[in-house]
Amino acid sequence: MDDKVIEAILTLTPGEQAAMATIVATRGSTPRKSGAQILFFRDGRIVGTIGGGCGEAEARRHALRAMATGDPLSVQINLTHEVAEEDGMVCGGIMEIFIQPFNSGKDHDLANGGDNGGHSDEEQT
Amino acid sequence: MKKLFEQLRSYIQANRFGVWGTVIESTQVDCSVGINFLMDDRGHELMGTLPPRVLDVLTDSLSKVLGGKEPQLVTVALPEGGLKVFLDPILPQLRLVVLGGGHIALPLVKMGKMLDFQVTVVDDRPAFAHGARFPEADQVVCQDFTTAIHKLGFDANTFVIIVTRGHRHDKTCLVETFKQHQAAYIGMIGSRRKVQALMQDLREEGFSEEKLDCVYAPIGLDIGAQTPEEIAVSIMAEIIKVRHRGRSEDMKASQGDGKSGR
Repeated sequence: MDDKVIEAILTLTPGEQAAMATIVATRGSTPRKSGAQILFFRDGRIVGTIGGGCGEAEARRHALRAMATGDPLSVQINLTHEVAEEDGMVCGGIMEIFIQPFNSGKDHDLANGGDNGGHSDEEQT
Repeated sequence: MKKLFEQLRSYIQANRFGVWGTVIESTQVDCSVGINFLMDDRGHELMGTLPPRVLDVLTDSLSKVLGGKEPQLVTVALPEGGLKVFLDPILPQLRLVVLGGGHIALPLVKMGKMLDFQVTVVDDRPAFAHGARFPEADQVVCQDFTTAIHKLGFDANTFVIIVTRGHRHDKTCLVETFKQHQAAYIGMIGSRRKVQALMQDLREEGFSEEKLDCVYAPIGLDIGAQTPEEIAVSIMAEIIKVRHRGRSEDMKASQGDGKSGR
């Protein structure tokens, strides 16, 4: 849990797109552990961190995809493979992250104050 | 959705203990992926976002998260299919109380804020205890140490740094701190000799060895700190160590499959 990320979500302007990534599990050596959060804005700004480097960059790509589709998604980020090594990042672990988009039009329209919790059929495809 | 996040924020701001949940995988029609929920410190759901049968199967995991204060990824099996839920504890903000407003207090307050503590400074001298001297502090108290500590009240979320201008005041602070609930951390500045003498005094006054043992004195990690700023780093490093139950050897020394012997 990152208080600053929660605060940033609540101060999104109407229609401003963002996606929050949360580390929900890690295996092996990772820069941050379970519970770490980051909020990616569509324009490239961020609040918080899940460890930086190309792991975070990979999370950003998924976050942009989630903003585009409006669907939350789970992804596994592998810091053990070759691409990471080329960039000199060899933490060696794997992190599972969950990404939730906000204000993507389809769901979670925070700015409108809509409370769709519990009636989720219309939130998802 | 927004209401739920607002509720979460008010929980954080009120320093309340609870659990924030997120449904990560689900085959349930009435409990879809991306749903969040908020539970209080007794495991009661607050906004009614989860179906009762899902709540029921989460009971054990919730008490584990509330007890262990560590996040957990939980997989639950229901007759209609599986469910994966991330449970994240909402922990009250930690408090840092700096007793003594002298040189070291200046960088300590800055670093304390940097590390997300709610910071209070206490000194009995008006010149050393005012808002202009500590613009980043959440609270500056100008009062004698005994009264101030009594009024503040310490608990398991409080980190106490005793850095007053002299032994006599340090001792007053320590004695008063002992009367409070056990703090998460009590550190006191002073040379090895001064600390020994003060501890001997307290021993003779009847304080138990167990109490005296939990005081980090001399304060800080041994990194050869000289300036007030460096000493503040050494103190805050020790506090991080206590907070995350870390170790204090070099990262380099601690590598290599425990060859360092610890």
